[in-house]
Order: sequence, then C-alpha cells, then structure tokens
Amino acid sequence: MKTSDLLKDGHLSDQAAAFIVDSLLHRQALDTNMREEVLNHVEECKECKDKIIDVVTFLRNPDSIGAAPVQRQRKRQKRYFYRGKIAAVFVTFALLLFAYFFIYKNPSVLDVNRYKTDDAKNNQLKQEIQVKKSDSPSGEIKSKETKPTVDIEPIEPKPDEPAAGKKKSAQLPDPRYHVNPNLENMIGSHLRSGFLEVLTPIDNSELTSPIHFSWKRGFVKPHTLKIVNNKNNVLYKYPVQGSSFDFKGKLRLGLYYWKLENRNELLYVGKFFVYEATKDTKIR
Amino acid sequence: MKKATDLDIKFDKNRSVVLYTIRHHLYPEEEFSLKLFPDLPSVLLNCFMEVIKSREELLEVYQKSGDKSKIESLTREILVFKNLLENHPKTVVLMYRTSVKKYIRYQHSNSDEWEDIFQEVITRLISGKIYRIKEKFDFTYKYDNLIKRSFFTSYFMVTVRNIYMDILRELKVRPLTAGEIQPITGNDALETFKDENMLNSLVIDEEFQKLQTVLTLYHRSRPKLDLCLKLKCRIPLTGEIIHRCFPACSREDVKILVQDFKGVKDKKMFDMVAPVFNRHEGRENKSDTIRKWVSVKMDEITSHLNRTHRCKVYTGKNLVDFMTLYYEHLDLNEIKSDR
Repeated sequence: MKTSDLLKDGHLSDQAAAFIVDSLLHRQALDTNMREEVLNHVEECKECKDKIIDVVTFLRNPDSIGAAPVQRQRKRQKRYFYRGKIAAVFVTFALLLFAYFFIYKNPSVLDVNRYKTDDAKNNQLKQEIQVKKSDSPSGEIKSKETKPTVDIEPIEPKPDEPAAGKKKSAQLPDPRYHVNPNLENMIGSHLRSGFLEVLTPIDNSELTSPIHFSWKRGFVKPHTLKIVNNKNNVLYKYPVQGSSFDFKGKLRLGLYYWKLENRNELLYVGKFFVYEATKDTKIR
Repeated sequence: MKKATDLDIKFDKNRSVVLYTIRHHLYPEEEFSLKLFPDLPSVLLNCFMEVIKSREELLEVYQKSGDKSKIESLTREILVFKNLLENHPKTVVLMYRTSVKKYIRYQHSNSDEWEDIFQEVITRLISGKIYRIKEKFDFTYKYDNLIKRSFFTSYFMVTVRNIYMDILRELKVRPLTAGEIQPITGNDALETFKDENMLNSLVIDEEFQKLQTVLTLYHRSRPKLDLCLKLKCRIPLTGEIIHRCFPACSREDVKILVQDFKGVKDKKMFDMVAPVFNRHEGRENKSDTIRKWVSVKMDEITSHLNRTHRCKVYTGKNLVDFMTLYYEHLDLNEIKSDR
C-alpha cells in the first residue's frame, strides 16, 4: 500500500489507523512492517494518537463507564476578545488625535503662567515694576503693557531717524492730538449757495506758524476766522476779508480746527496739526 | 399432515445449521464477542432468510434439502463477510448497531444527547458511509497475519469515531481536554464511585493496558522514554534497558546510569546523566533540556490517560506512582514469562 493511502490530509488514513488499532488489540505492539512515515507520524501527532487510544480502549472494554465529558463550545469569546482589542486601539488613536488638535489650537494650554495663582501673578508683576522703575530716569512707569523685550543686535541707524539703541515703547496718542468727533463730521464746505473752495491749509497738514489761510473767492463783506483746539475751545478769532489771512499767533503742538463764518452761518471747517516748529518747516 | 411436519423439522434443522455456521465458522465469538455483537446471529439469520425467500431455487434447496453441507455452503455463500458487505451493506450496519450504540454511550456518557447522536450516526452510515466503506476497504491487502475479520471491526469503529467527531463539531460540542476535566476530590470521589461499574472500570490491569497502549505509540522514542521514565520514577535500571536505548554504551556510562538516585533531586540527577545522553546522541544538550523533554512526555501521557476517564484521574504527581507500579508489574511479568 502506498504512503499516500496511509497518510491523508496530514493525518493517518482510516485504514492506517485501523491497522494500528488492530495490531495493538491483538499483539499489544505496533507492527514493525508498517511504514516508517506512519509510525513517525503517530509518534508526533496527538490527534491521531487520541483516535487510536479511543478506539482501542473501547474495543478492549466496551462496557467501561466512559471517556472525558463533553461541553458546548463558547465560540463568541474569541470574537469579542478581538473586537475589544480593535475598539481599544481605535479609542486610543482617537484620544491622541483629539489631544494633538486641542493643543495645536490652544497653545496657551502649555503656558505655565496660565496656571499660576493671582498672588503669584501679582508678585511677579511687582517685581517687573520694580525693575522698570530702576531702569526709567524719571522713575515713572511709561506703560503698563510692555511687550516682552528681546535681545537684538544694534541696528545701523537709518538717515533722519533717531539713533539706534533706543528702545521704543508703544505709547498712547497725546490728548492734544485726539480728534473731535463733532468737528470731524463738520470738516469741509458748508456754504448753502455753493462750494467754498479753500486753497490753504490742506486738511490734516502739519503746520507751523505763521499759517497762511486762503480761499478762492474773496469775501466782500467781513467774515470771521476762528481757530479752535480739539476740544472746540476758541483760541483765536479774527475778522477776515478778501481771499486770504496770515495767522502769526502761537500755537502749541497738537491738533486744531479752523472755521470760517459769516454773520449767520458756518461756512467752512478745516483741520491741521501743529508739530515741532522749526525755521525750515514750510507751510503747506 | 406428515409432510408439513417433515418440512417443519427440516426447516428447524436447517435453521440451526445456519446458526451454527454463523457462530462457529463465519463469525466466531472470539472475533465477534457477545459484548459487541449480542444480536449478530438473529440479524444474519434474518438477512439469510430474506435472500432465500427472494429466490425460489434457493428457497427450495433450503426447504427440501436434508444435506447439512449444502445448507452450510449456502449459508457461507450468502453470509460470508465479503459478500455480505458487497450485497447487503445495511445488514453490516445492523450487525454493528450495538457496538455503535455502546461506543456513543461510552464517548458521550454525561449527556442526554447520546441517543440522538447514535441515531444520527446510524442514519449517516446507512444513507452513505457504509457504501464508501465498502469501496475503500481492501480485502486483498495482507498485513502480516492480520486477521481480516477483526480488522474490519477496527476499521469500522475508526469510521464511526470520525462520524461522531463530525457530529460534535456540527453541534459545537467538544470533549474537554485534560486541563478542563475536574479532578476527583473527597466527596466527589464517593459520589463518583457509587456506581459499581465505575469501580470496575478503574481496575488496575485495564489502566496498565491503557498506559501500555500510550507508550507503544511512542514508537521511535520508546527506548529513551522507558529509560527516562524509569530514572524519573527512581526505578533501578538494568543493562538491557540501557543498551536498548544506547547500544554502544560503555561500562563507565552504564555505571553512571545504574547508580541509585533515590533521595537525589531531579535537577541533580539529570545533571549527572546528561553527559551520557549527549555522548550517545551526539549533542550538547543541557540537563534542563532532557528534564523538560521528560516533563513534556509525562504531560502528554497524563492527557492521553485522562481522556479515557470522566474526571481527571491522573496528575503529574500520581502518574509517577502509577508508572512505578506499571514498571514493577512489567518486570514481574517478564520474570514469569522467562520462567
């Protein structure tokens, strides 16, 4: 008989198993004429050994009580075991992704100062203030909100610019330069019969004294020219005629408005700035 | 009236000839025990009568012939196993019905399902399996004085076991492995042993036979296995056992192996014998390797033995004791047979 007839699907064929069973039943030994491959397989294979032992044991004692008990297989456990593992992997991955995007969107989460108590913060602020006081010549704190200073290399000074090395701190605009919302709305010609064309000064120009006021059509009758500060306080008032007027008075640095009026109405409101007065500064 | 009586007498006589032929010539009790084939004569007689009645010439011979040899010859022709399997395979299934029933009961003893499984096995045999057995079984194969009639029983029961395992798989039921079977404990043992049959089944000789069957299946490594198991059980080794394992064993090596290891721990013992094993096997194994090999084999033997019981009878500990008894029993039988 061929080996292929004795071994089938990696195990003993029924015929080979029956040979071994019969040999054990009648001779209590394996037939040495049996093929080596069959005997080697029996030695190694638990399943085939169990098959032979089951049949031999029964045929020797058919009335013996019984073999190992049986029970229903619990098949689902394996499935749930792997489902649980896969679910755990997904949940972990989702948590990591969430953590990554959360930190990416909210980097302040990692800022240590965010988690300091108010007392700790106040102490830190006091220390900073002390440092600034010692730095500043007047002893005044220039600004509460200071940007964090960064050590930078000195830059080559550009022409007409202040010398390098001075650290500019952000400042609020001087109150003298604050715009007056009411007067801002009134800037321009208010002439009912037409447009009053003002030649100088151009609105928002930077001027120094003397200031030349001029308009296209000359006034026949006297009109009034007023110069007011940004709080609408009249500083100067002049009667004007013709088509121009030179102002030679003194004005401090700041924002000013000027008005042209006749007896009954306001004709024009203009706006100009007064900065540092130098001899070379031209009137625009 | 006389004729009818004569016919009846002949009929009864011929019937007894048929039964005698079945029981003494065709299917002797030594090969077809009453335990496994209690209704064999009646099954075969029924088959014989059906065949006789289906053919007029045979019926005439049976009814009228007074020649014993003719009836015997007719019986042999119809009921010889080869012809029976060829022409009446369902009768063969009926012949083995009790064997199958007992086997299923033996394997599935703890459940009420066994009757259903038994019916299913018989159905599968009759509807198709017996025809495959008929095709596959090789009557011409000679295997060194193999008794063919009993060989068919072994073959048939292997097939029945396969069908039974297939049904278990379909039912999603499995035999518990040795690790899952509950061991016998105090009160449980009493309950378990209430049944007289249970007590009988644990007769030591049967257990020796099982162990012998298990050890026989380790064909290639049997000599080494016997040697190592005897060392493990602290049974004194003989030269014969040593030479069976290491044919070219020197005197010095024999001296090492035969020394008394009682009271010596396993580790130390294997440390002492490992060089002998390495010399003869041509390896450089550590003593732990040999010790683990023995441990694995003992676990396998425990598992195989426990399969034949409903509870975990054997453990690592009591197996050593049982093996000691077995080897002593074997040595005693060898002494008796030598005498």
